[in-house]
Formats: sequence, C-alpha cells, structure tokens
Amino acid sequence: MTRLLVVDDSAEVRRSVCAALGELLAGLSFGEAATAGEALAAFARERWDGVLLDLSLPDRNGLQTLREMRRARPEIPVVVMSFHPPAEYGAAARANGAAGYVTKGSSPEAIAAAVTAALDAARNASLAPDTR
Amino acid sequence: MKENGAAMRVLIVQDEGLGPPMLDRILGPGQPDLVHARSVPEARELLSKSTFDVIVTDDARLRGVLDAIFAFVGLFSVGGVILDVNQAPLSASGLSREEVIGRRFVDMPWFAHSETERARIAAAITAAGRGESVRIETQIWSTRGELRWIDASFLPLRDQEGAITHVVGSGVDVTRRKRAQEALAASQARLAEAQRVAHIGSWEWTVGENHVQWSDELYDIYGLTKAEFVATYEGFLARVWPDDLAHTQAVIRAAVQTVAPFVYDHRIRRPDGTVRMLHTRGEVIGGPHGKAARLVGSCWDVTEHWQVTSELERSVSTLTATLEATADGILVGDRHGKVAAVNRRFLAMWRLPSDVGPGADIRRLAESVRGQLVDPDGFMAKVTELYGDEHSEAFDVIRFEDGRVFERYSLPQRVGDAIVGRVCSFRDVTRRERFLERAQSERAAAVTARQDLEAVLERVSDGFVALDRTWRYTYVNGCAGRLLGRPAEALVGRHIWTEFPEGRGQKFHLAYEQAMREQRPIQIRDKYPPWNRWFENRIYPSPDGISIFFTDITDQVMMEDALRASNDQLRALAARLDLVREEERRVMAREIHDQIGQSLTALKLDLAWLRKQLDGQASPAVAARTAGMDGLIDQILGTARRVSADLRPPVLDDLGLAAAIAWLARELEERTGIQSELDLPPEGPAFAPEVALTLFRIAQEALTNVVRHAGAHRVRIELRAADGAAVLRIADDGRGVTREELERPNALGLLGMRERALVVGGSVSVTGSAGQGTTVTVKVPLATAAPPA
Repeated sequence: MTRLLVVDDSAEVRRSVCAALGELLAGLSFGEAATAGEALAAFARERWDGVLLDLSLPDRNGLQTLREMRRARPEIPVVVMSFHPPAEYGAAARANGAAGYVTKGSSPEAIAAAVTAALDAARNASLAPDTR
Repeated sequence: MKENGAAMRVLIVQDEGLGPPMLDRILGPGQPDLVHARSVPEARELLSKSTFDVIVTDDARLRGVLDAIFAFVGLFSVGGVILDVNQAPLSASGLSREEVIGRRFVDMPWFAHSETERARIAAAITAAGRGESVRIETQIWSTRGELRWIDASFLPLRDQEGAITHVVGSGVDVTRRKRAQEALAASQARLAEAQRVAHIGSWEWTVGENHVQWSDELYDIYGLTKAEFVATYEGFLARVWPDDLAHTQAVIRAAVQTVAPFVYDHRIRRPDGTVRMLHTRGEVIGGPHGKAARLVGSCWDVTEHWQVTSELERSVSTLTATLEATADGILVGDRHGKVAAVNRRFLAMWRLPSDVGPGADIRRLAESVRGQLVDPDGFMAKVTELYGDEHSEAFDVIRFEDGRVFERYSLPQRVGDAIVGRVCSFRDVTRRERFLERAQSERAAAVTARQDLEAVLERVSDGFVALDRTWRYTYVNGCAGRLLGRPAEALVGRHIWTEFPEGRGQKFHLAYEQAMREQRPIQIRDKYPPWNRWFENRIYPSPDGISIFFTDITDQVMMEDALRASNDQLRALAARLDLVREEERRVMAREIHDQIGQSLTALKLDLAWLRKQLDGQASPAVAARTAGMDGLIDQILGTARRVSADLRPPVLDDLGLAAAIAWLARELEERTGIQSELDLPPEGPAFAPEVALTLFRIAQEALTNVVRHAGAHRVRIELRAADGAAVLRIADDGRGVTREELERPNALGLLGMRERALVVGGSVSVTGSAGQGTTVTVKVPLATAAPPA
C-alpha cells in the first residue's frame, strides 16, 4: 500500500480529497492531519510515501511546515495544495522543496495527476540512488 | 586694325646725345601712337597739350622723375617678359634693373608668397596681351618682409596696324588706404559690437531728404525688422507712445530750430505690445545758412531704471502717507545726525516750527526742545548715547514740564544688513501715565479722580497692581484680586514678597526688579510654576515704583497645547484605526479562505464524484445542470480568491514585501496593460511587519494613482534597504503631476500616504514635471518605533 498524508484544517476538504483520490488511484491509503503540529508528529511517527499539504494552516506558516518536512525526510515528496494560484506561491513552494503544486478547486484528475507524478519521481529517485 | 579708338598713347622721351634708345630697340620704329620727345622741355610741352597713357624714357633725368614716383611702371612683352621697369619695383624687391630685364614678371620675388597671386598676374598679363585692359588688386612681397597691397593695371600696347606688341603694367601701393579701410571696418564693427553689448542704438536723420537711418541695435530696441520700419521722421513718430509724442516732437523741433544738442526720454510700444522707456541724446549738424542738415542721436533702453525710479517714487509717497497717518511722532535720522524725515505729528508733539525738515541737525533740534523737559540733561545724554552708537536701541519715557509724557522707541534703521540711520517714534502716553500716577499717589488724589480711576481699572479685564519702591501694594484692582486669590483691599499696603513668598526668584520677580532698577517698561509671558499657570505681564516703571498689568493666559496656552495634543491624538487614532482595519481585512481574508474556499473545494470534488456516478445514466438536463454547477463553483472560487487577495494579499505575510510588490505589478499589468520594471532585493530583507504593510499600502495607493491619473505606459518600482532605511520609489512615464495637483489639500491621496508613512516614522515625497512622469518616494526607518497601540 502507498501511504499518502493529507494535511488540511478542513475536515470536509480532507474527506473529499481522500474520496476523490481513492476513486482515481488504486493501492493508495490515507492518513489525515488538521494542523502543522499534527502533520509533523504523524510524519515523524509513521511511514509515508507522500504528503498533500495545504499552505494555509491555523498553527504555522505552510511554507515553514514544508521546509521542516523536507529537512526531516527529504525522500518523501510533498505536493502543495493551495487556495492561492501558482502565480503567487508556485515559485516559493518549489524553492522550499515541493514536488508539485495544485490549486484548490482543481479537478480530481488534476490533483491525482500531481500526486502520481510526485510519487513516481520519488520512487524512481530511490531506485537509482547513484543519480542523487 | 585698330580695335578701338582709345589705343594707348606712349610718349617716348629720348635725348639724341645718348646713343640708340633702348625703347626703339625694343619696340621697333614707326609706331603711330608712339610720340617722341627729344628733350625734357619738349616732353613737358607735349604733356601739357595732350595726355599720354605711358611715358617711357631712357633719359636719365626723366627716368629720374619716373623713378622718383611711387607708382610701379613696367613694360612687358605679350609673353610677360620684363623689358623695362622704373625704380619703385626695384626698390621694393632690392633687385637691380639688369637682374630684372629679360625675366618673366611673374617669376619676380614679389609674387613668391602666393601661387594664387602669381596665377592672377599671369592671367592679367595674358588678357592684356589679348587686348583687354585689366585692373586688379594684388599683394606683393616687399623687401621689408611685409605684404603690400597694389592697385595694378595691365594695358595692351598696339602698333600702327593695331596689333598688340607689348603690355604695360603699372601699379600703385594702396596698402595704407587698404589698412585704413580695414581699420575703419574693424572700428565700425567694434562700434556696432559695443552698441550691441551696451544696447545702445544710434540713428541719423537727414532733415532735407527726411530720411532716417537706424543702427542694427536700434532695430532690436524697437523690436522691429528693417522691412517693418518706415525710415522717415513720421515713421519714427508712429512708434512713440501717444502720451510722449508731443514732448518728443517739441524737443526735436527746438533742436532743429536752435541747432543745439538735445536730450529726451520717450516710451515706445513694440509690435509685441510691450512698452519700453528709451533715453535719447543727440546733436544737430548744421548745413548751409546755419540750418540743421542732420540730426544724429544715440538711444538706449532705460525701462528697468525708469520702472525702479517710478517704483521708488511710489514707495516714497506711500511711506510719506504712512508716516503722516500714524498717531506716533516719527523722526528718521541719517548716520550723520541729520533729519532724513519727520512727520507733522512729531513737529506738533515737540512744538517745533513746521519748516523743520530733512537736513536739520538733530542735536540742535534736541537743544531747542530741552527747555520743555523735566530732565533736560538726561534727555540730552540719551540723545548723545543713541546717536553715538548706531546699534543702540531704546524704549523709554520722556517727561515734559507741562505734564505730558512720551514713550520713545528708538532703533537703528536698516537697509538689508547695513545701518543707514535711526528711527525714533514718540507716543503721547500722558493719559495713561496720569492714571498710573494717580494710582501711585492715592492719598493725594482727589476722591472723585480716584473713583474715576478705580472705575476704569475695575472695568478692565486685566489685573492691575501698583507697587511702590519698597515692594508694597499701593493699588490692586478687582480683577487682580481675583487673579491673586485675595480681596484687593486686603493686599494694599502689604509687601508683595511677604504675601507671595513662593514668587521670590521666579522670572516675574526678576522682571519687576529689572523694570524698577532700569526704569524701563518690560513685557513678559511665562509660566508661574507655584500656581502652575501662565501669565502675561506688562510692567511700567515710574520713579515711585512700578505698575503691572497682568492677565492669566493659561487657558490660551492650554488651548494651544491641547490643539497640538489633539492633532497628535487624531494622528494616533487614525493610525490605530488603520491597524484595526488592517486586522479586520486580514481576518476577513482568512474567513473567506477557511469558510468559502474550503467548502467550495470539497463541493467541487464531491460534485466531480457525483457526475462520475451519474455518467451515462443521467438525463441530458441533469448532466447540463451538474456541468453548470461545476462552472459556478469555479467562478465563485475565482471571486473568493480575488476578494481575499484584495483584502490582504497572503503573499505579503507569507513571502514578504518584495514578493507582494511583484504580485502588485503582475496584477497591474493584467488589469491595465501597464508594464513594470522591478528592482527589488532578491532576498527580501525581513522588514518589520508594520513597515512592510505601510510600504505595501503606499505602493498600492501610488499604483492606483498611476492608473487613474498618469496616463502612463510603464512604471518602475524600486525597493532598497540602505543606511537603516527602506526606500520605495515608484516612477511612471506618464504626463507628470502638476504643482497645482500637489498643492491641493488631499492631493492624490498624498495626505493618506504621508500619514501612513508618519506612523512608522517615515516620509513621502512626490515629484513630477510635465511630460516627464511622476515619482513617489517613500522612506521609512528600518528600526521603527513601535506603532501606537
């Protein structure tokens, strides 16, 4: 099973995202976190293959959370899902190590494609450690 | 074959005793125009009867004559070879006749200086050889090493058949004339230049022909071109300002009649409508029978001088009127102690004769009035002191034997920094003084007078007290009692510093002592700390003590302080409101994100799921509705994003000021097409949040102005942090803000920008010029004071 951690302070968003991705992608199981604190705790405690991270979290700046995740587990890809258009945050997210960027309100297929691409890239990188 | 009847006549003078004449040898015999004279007397007779173009001789004496003349004379072959010359060219070249004869004329050292001259001479001789008479001006190189101007002619010499046999050349040294001409031209040019520099024009009127000639400068003075000016006397009069016409005509008529020099001023109106004042002086040149033949004049523009003079006259009359209008007696003295001006009031006050005026000696005037005074010696000493030290100032009281009392105020009169004299003003304060004197000599005063006085003093809104020389109250009015917090009658006879010991050593105490000691009036406005109130005091001394008018100005001072404080509070309140508004905007932006954004996100995903479930089973109407719902969700999401960003761009809080400004610039281009050139720090310095927010909001306001008012195509945005300050500069290429726009009370939201900047200790400047765009510069210290809470 590929494990994806979905971080968003809205339960509705988490539920709908997990449902949509579960429909579209086979072999995916989900963990959820509502705050940056919960997310980082879960991140340290359990095994994850990828993270879908909202930038607007109640307790901490999303970009800072992203940096901390990358520092702790650089091999785990983090896809940013944000309310704000990529023109504003895309470059900053990439600079802080995001593996992908989707806007909230994108179609389920677009979200699934971003997650798949990030997971595949990480899997390929780990299979060919000499390229790192 | 005579081509013209004016063939050259040559007189050959030949003495038979001198062997074969050279000319016969050269010219050959039998030339018809060749006239022979056998002796000098014969030649002289021939010359008196007839004219000859050339005289040729080998006669020693005649040659002596020829050689003695300054003209150069030479006989050449048609090919230009020298056959004979007189002495002048030989002297000029230092050559002997033998060295010259047989050589080409143009090869002579006279033309060594210039190939051009050599070619011109060769061409002239060739032309003469073809039958032309050529006259040219040329330059030759003389033995003295200088170029000389020669007026030269080359003429053909013909034989009986008219065939050209020789060329005769002659020349006159015209160097002196030429130099004189050049010098004249140079001097005329210098004159014209001098006139131009001095703006002096000149003119000449030939009376008989009624022709007027103007110099170039005069045309400039009149603002006319040569084509515009009708060069007659009437043409000149047409330019004269109508009011000055009669005078101008009268002066010129008199000058013509008397043939005498003349001067006049007149105004002219230029074609562009400006009026100038001209000053003209000139003289008349007499003709036959003592009549005026020509008038010549120089003329220059004295408008500025005239304006200054008129202005001065106006000021002087205004000054005089002012002097006369004042109730004070005024005496203005110069540095030599002479009267420069007095008004009638002064003369009346001092009982001086009405013919005293400028030039009168001030000391002598003082001597003449001293008998009227109580203290004549003190008065004279003061006069001596004042006129001995030009910097001194005085404010004192002068008492007259007849009871009158004047206040004198004397100070240096300055023009710029220089002291040019002294102004004394005298005010009759007898009435006031009488009141005060009566107050001080209460016991002596009649009861009714005292009542009158007290009635007056009780009615004044100021406090009034009189103190004798021992610092005891001799009079206290009701108002003073109220101000001092004691019944007025309880204070009379009491010692001020016993009653108010806390006042000892205060500024007011010192002022009273000074007034008493120096016997001069003093005014003071200060705080009285023991009571924590502000007072204004006017202290008048007299030999018996001092009188003090005083009033409590605490309310006025407090009002001024309150106004200042209130302005500060308003500003703080505005800043606070701004903070509150910003916080509200931030919360609302957050709400939109958390509530609307999150719900729509979930809704969108669920709707996608629903549509997939319905896929193939739903009616076309249901499919269309669900597709519509999806579109609507996208639309609402877009709106929510925009509203949220407008309220508070998340970029500012998350990514910093530079990113937020870049976002503003992107937005600007998307909305309006105005392109931005950004010069932002790559690694945004961590500005304090309130500094970042201030700069961001000002940038937003400035860009709004660019869109609304500037008509710009491009805008350049710079952000720098240097020397402890953040500097934001926004420059557009629009029409440029005007001075009028900047001076409007809330020009272009500038006040708002300034207030915003002020809250964080910063400043805003806006500059612009027509067509050059507008630049807004904001400077904010990085280490900012905490915003008012």
